Amino acid sequence: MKIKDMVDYPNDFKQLKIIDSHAHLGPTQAMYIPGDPSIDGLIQTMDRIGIEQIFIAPHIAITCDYISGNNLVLKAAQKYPGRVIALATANINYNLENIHELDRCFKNSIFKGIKLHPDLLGYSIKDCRLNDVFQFAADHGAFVISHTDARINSNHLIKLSEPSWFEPYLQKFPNVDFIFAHCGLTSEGFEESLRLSQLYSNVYLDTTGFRFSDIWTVEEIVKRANVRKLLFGSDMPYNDAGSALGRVIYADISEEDKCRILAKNALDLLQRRR
Amino acid sequence: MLIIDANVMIGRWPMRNLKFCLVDDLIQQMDYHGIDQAIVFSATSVKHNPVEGNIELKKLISTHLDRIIPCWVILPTWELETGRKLIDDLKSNKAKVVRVFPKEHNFVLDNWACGNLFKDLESVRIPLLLDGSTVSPTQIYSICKDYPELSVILTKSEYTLNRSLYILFDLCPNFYLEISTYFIYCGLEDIVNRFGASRLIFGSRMPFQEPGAALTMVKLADISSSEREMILGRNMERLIEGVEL
Repeated sequence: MKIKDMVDYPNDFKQLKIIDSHAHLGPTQAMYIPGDPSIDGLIQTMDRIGIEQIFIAPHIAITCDYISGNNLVLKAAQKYPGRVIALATANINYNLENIHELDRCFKNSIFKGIKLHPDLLGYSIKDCRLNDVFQFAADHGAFVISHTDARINSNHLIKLSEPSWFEPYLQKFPNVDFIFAHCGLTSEGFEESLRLSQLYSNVYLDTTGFRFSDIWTVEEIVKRANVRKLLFGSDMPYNDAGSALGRVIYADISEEDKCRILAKNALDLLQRRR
Repeated sequence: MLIIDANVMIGRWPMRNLKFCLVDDLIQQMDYHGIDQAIVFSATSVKHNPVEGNIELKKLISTHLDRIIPCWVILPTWELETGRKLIDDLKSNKAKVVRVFPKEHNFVLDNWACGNLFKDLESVRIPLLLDGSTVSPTQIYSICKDYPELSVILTKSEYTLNRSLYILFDLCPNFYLEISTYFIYCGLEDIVNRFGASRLIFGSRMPFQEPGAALTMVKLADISSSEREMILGRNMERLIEGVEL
């Protein structure tokens, strides 16, 4: 059976052992989340549509209190071992405490990666304090997943996470894998993300946030870049996982590439780490 | 299972070379995704001129009328015909759905400017598609309340507005949501449970977005088969059948 036809038999998705590389946890300020955003609710949804593992940084970590969020994801990962890949959120506005917090998290091997959300936490990727975070990632074998957004931030009225601003870090920290969440969101951000993924082997792109770009990004990335660098992400429980999955399973690409995007690439990333 | 896509555009979009602009390419995508029919407006109607765009649409889809339902882009002024003549034009051109683009075409959507137009549309029960990027929840509420027999379908909704959308669902039985950008976690399930499946309309927003996204969201939603069928096609079919042209 072709992968796109599995949509009518969702139990068959389980054989693909899908890994969702972009998710959150808990409620958020921006909108009403209709489903159960707790880890139990997420796992239930994952079981229903066949997602095996999920990378999580809780909403509270990226909107308000990063330490509470890190504690929350630790509990979630402990409750569902093997299903949750815990991300420790960094907030460079807290200077030294931030590195101590990362240190506290990474004493536990449950944490695999570091989450950055410049737009919600109000700092710029150009902020040199990020060097400490990336050095920490290099020292601890962690990957970094960052929100990328080529738009002007509506609260700060400047751009904060333009993909091109990562370039100096990509050169300086070649052993740290960077996941560009949302591929820069806009069409300009997408082109820049794609350019960097072509130039630097430590750049990964995820499939979330496509509706701002007007580009069928999955097909475009497979056509123009290295498919091994593309990761499936849902952005649950903000976004719906089915719509995210649909972009990959209906894409006009090979079955092998679909398997890579849905699982194998993330597995390779995890196996190289820590 | 009948699948009707309520939100498709054809033609050349100036800002970007989109996935496709030709009708044959659209038909190919519809076949690949199992979409039976699409409700289509033309890019020319939005970006150049509705009068010329609607005429262009008629020509473009003339050989595919079994698959494509024309959606006219209309204005409140006499550049397009108004009143009975507009209704006759819609009828002769087989348009079953209309859209307005107040931001692009520089008019206000308030009652004093568009009241007569809405009254005309309501009189023949032709559904009105409104683009969420050009209309506020307050404006939607006013239209729904003042013209209760007019079916108002919101497209390109900002889903972070869902707190307001829920109140619209609650207060306005003639308010519908086209789902092509409503990608909220368990969003469909919750609306179905609270307000019923009849309020949701499948749309893809091709060629801006991949149709697989909205399609899979419905197919994998935790709802019954009959609710799925309603969202994917039966609801839109019912609205079209209700048009009295």
